[in-house]
Order: sequence, then structure tokens, then C-alpha cells
Amino acid sequence: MHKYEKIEKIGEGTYGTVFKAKNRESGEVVALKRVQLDEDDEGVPSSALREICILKELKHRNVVRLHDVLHSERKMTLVFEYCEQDLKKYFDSCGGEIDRATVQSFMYQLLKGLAFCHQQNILHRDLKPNLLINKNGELKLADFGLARSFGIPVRCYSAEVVTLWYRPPDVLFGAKLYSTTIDTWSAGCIFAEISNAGIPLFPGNDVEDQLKRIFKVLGTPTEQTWGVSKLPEYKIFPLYPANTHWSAITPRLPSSGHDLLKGLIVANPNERLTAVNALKHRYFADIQSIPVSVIYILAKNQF
Amino acid sequence: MSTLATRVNSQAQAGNHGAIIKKRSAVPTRRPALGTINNQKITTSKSLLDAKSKTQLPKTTSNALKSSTNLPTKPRTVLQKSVLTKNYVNAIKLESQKSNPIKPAKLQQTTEVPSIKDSPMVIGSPCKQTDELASNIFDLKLKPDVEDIDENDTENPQLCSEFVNDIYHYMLYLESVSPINRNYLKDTGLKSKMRCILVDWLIQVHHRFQLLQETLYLTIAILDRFLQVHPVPRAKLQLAGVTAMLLASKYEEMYAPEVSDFVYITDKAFSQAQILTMEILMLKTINFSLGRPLPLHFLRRNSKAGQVDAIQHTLAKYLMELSLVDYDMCHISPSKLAAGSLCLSIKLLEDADWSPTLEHYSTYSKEDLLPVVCHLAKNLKSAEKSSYQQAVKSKYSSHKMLKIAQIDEVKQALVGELAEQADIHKL
Repeated sequence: MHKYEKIEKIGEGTYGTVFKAKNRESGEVVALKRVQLDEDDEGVPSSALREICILKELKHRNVVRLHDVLHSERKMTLVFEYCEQDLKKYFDSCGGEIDRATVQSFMYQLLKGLAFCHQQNILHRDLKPNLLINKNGELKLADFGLARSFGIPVRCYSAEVVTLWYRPPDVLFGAKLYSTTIDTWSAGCIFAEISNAGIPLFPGNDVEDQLKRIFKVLGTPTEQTWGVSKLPEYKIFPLYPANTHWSAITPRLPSSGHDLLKGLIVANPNERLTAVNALKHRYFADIQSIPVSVIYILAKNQF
Repeated sequence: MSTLATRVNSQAQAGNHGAIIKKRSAVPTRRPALGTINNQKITTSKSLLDAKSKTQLPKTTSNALKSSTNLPTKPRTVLQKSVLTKNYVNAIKLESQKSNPIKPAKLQQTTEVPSIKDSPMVIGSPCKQTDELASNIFDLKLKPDVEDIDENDTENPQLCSEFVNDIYHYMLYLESVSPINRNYLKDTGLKSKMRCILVDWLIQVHHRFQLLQETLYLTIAILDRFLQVHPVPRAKLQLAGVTAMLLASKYEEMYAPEVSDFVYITDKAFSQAQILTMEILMLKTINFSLGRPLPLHFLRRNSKAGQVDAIQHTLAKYLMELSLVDYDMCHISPSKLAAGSLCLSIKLLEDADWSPTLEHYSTYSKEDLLPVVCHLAKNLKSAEKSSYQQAVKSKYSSHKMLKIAQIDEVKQALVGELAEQADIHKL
């Protein structure tokens, strides 16, 4: 630990405290995530184990880079690249509006990082506005504590994944057999949230409320639209009609954006867009490198 | 029931290292760690744990074990039973475009577990910086005589048809960067028989804990990759074995067994603290890379490409699992082992050839696979009597495994003929 000098605490991760720190030799600023190991405990938590193993292999500009792992008798410290802020803080500082080019850029980078994960047989399973943003406007997937590798055909995994607001309806109904589209639902929710400058799409209070909010927009699924009743925790919901007026829900998106959102926010996981296909969507036809406006907002926050 | 000492002893008389082991068995002061393995060796369907719990079991540990093995709705990998009929098309050869040959890693001669201090470890070697996958591994374009096995899967996200090829390219890349060296126990003071006994025991433990198939393959891969860099004294071999299984479980399982379960299963030969210290040492030694693909991943792809049925697939799995115990095969890459196993399976069951489609998706030609096929046949033949393969054999004699170890096809003359060629076609 002598290698790094702690600067300040920046948050709590899935399984430990995160600090901003500086490499004493190189001066490089990093983020340190500490994992406590207790003698009478189970050793390295499986979430930390997976996060390390997975991030060690995932080297992409839209995935947070794990530089190093330090360990001592009682703790392990993960050394990550430092990003100035996350999407949540960006929402707080953007003044209630995010311009089109920035929304497009963030969404493009999110899908890029996600497609890369999926191509390397990794499911993230906890996408939310915990995405990191650095001073160059680069967006990076982080928090791989719930991530896992998958085989093909994808087998059953835990249904206790994804933060409620970003959890797809199949998993809300207890589905254990899901695939990469578990993450693209979350990506869709984040897309709407970015375009509305931080207003979450489906901020449910519990599983039932969450499903209600979703069905009020998409319409309650029926056996004809999606064989939903076979799912482990299926419950009957009032038959809400489809009311997908995306232009009312996300007024700032162009029509191509509504079309992309419509492809991601699909109740039936088999009909949801994959990250690779979403990237080919016409919404991204005019995608450029990271727009100046992103960096401008970031610079305004003076970090 | 023979003890480890007597068993090893009888082998040792034939070998050249009898003296040390004889000495050990002559002075039964303290049971060697691996001795406990053998004492609990169950060759029938009778369970390791049942046998234990009937004897003397501290309440706390038995409860701990129960709590983790009887977890509710523990999902199991269910193989698609209908892996379809046979239908083959024609071929292309891609072996020449395969990844680089395996470079032997430097063997480190360390005999004891060092204390773990505040030491930094560098994570990984510089890897691909872009999202371009190792596309040079094999040709993406299908030659006209190779079937596109994914074209009808676009409706089923479970099959990931959009990037299934990317994923398999990536897996081939991953296996090429984390090789296991041929004959890595040479100069370590450990004998191949010790590994054999340990693996056989781990297979039984795995079975008793009702863990996923993936966990078993991962356990053995972690163990080999650890030992080839960091050999441990014989007395710590079992510790390395259970710790490898602990790590594999944490990585693969929804509900991993607890550390106390592993303490218990070794008959308290090792403490919780020893396992946790070993855990960190192993992780550090293998540089936190648990993502190495497993033979099972490749077999599933091959079985799809070959449109094989459940029996053919299960026989291939039996062959793969028998090879886990075979030290001579530990360096065979997962993709090659999987291809060889299916190649022999369809040969024995259907007298079917390795089709062009199989050659394309597995990346191996029939000629590439011949040495592996002969060695697998040798294992199949020796499973008839070898005591080290009984755990696998009894598992594959069950209904669930379609009694594959008992079918006539595995006893046919062809097995013997191929087995005899194992010495000619060196691995």
C-alpha cells in the first residue's frame, strides 16, 4: 500500500469502500476498491473474485480498466483507472438538460462496452447510472460485482440480479434463464434516463410496482404476445393497454431514438435488441467522436 | 479398503521411488494428508458423505455441509436432450490458421507456501486494446461445403447466434494464453500417481457436493495451472486440490460450498486459515485468470455442429472426464480434448466420420485428432479395471448419464485397436 497515497473516499462499492488515490512514483491518480478478508470468513467474496477475473480480461475503452490487485493478510485492494465522475453525478450537474449529441454519444459508448462484454461471454447484470465518465467524456462500464461469464447455450443463473429499476420484466417474474438481453433492457432504461437528464424511466417501489409501471407503458403481456405465465414468479396483472407514446415519455429524443428505445424496452427477452444490433440502429447513423458539449459540461464541474 | 500408503506402496514396488513411501507406511505416526483421500474412496454409488456421516461427525460441520448441499432449487445444467439427428456436409481445413503453439512456462522450484505480505501483483499481460477479437484464429467466412449451424437460431437469445462465433474465437485465444505444460510434474518431487489419486478424489467430492460440471473441469484446470508454476510439498497437495475447488465453485456456482465444508471433507487435515491462505496464493499464482474456457464449452459447440444425439454427447463427456485423471493428457488444450472426445464418440456409436462441418467449427482435422483419439481409447479401455477411474466410471454408469459406461459400444474391439496405437501416435 505504500505505492499509493490516499486522497479521499469516493464511495461504497458492492463489497467495499472506494478511495481516490495517487501513485507515489508516477503521480497517476487511481481509484482503490478495498475488499476486507476476515480470517473466520469465506475468504475472497465470489463477487470480488468474479469482478477481478472478468475485468482482468476485459480491455476496452468503454470498460473500466483494472490496473492491479494488491493484497495483504486481511484485505485485497483493487486498483482501477480513475474516472472523474459517474453518470449520476453528471445528471446532477447538467442543469436538467443533456443535448442530443451527448445523449447519443453516451448511449453509443454504453452499447459499445456492453457488446464487447457480451462478445467475451460476460453478462454484466447490474447496469444502472453507475457508469463512469472521465474528463475526456469517455463513458465506461463499471461495478462488475454481479457479472459472470456464460456458456452457450446459456444456462440458468441467479434471478436475484440487476437493481430493481433496471431489471427486465422476465427477471422480475423470477426468470433464471436469461441471456445477453438482460443487459440491453437496463441499457434501454438508462437511455431514457439520459435523454430526460436523470429522470428514471421506471422508478418502482417494489417488484409489483415495478412491473405495473412497465406494463402501463408496454401493455400487460398476454399468452399471445409472450408466454409469460410459465415464469417461476408469474402473477396476474390488470390488463393495461399498450400506451407506448415514447414521444411523451422521452420528448427530447428524435424519432430514430424512440425507435431504438422501442427495440430495447421490450418485455419478451427474445424480441429485445442485442447490443450488437442496437449499435447498427439508424439512431447512430450520424455518430461522431465524443462531442465537445460533453467535455464542456465536464469542465464546468471543475474537477 | 486399502489405504493410500498400501496402494501407493504396491505401485512403488514396481517403480523406483518405493523407499520413501515404504518408510512412510512403516511408521504410521500421522496419516499423510492424501491418505484421507483414499480412506474415503468410494467405488460404488455409496456416497462419500453418507459413509462419513455414519461414523463420527461433529454436528456443526455436518449442518454446515447440509445447508450448502441442500440448497433450494439449485439449478443444474441440463443438456438439450434433443441435440438432433445426423446430417453432415462437406469440408474446409483451417488448422493452418490456428493460434500460436503453446510456449512452455518457466517452472518455478518452490517447495513451500510463502507467507502473504503486502506484495503487489501485476494483473495480466498487455492484451488486445481494441474490441477487435482475435479474428486471425480462424476464418470467419464459411466455405460452401460447411453448414452454417447458427442460421436458424436468431429467435433464441439463449444461443447467442449473433456473437457465438466471436465468443468461440475468444475462447480459443484464451486457452492459447493459459496453457498447461506437458509433464509439468517433472522435477517437482510430485509423482504423476499423486495427481491421479487427487483428481480421482476431487471427482468424488465434486459429485457429493452436487456441483456443476463446469466446476469440476475448472477445478482441475486451476490445480494444474497452479502446480506447474508453484509445486507444493506432497502433504499440501490435497490442500491445493480443495482450494482449487473452492475457487472454481466461487467462480462458477450460484451457491458455493462453504470453506468449512472443504475443511470437513479433508477430515480436518487442513484448517480454514490454511485454505484461505492457499486461496490467495493460488489466485496470485494463476494471476486471477479463471476465465480459461473448459472442454465442456467446446464440446457443446461441436455437438451442435455435429448434430449429435444425447448418447453421443454423453459418451464424449465420459471420455473427457476420464481424461481428467490421465496425467499424460493434462496438457491437451480444452478445444482439442473436446474435439477428440466427440470424434471417438461418434466413431464408436455410429461409425461416423469427422465431417467438414465438425472440422470447421472445432478447428481440428481428423488427422490432428488421431493421437488424442487413441489416448482416449486407451483410457476407455483401462477404465475397465483401473481403480483411479472408478469414480468417473460409476458416475457414468448412472441412469442420469444414460449408463454410458456400461454400453456395449465402449467394449468393442475398435477401442482396443485404437488404444494399441496410442504409443505410436504420441500426444
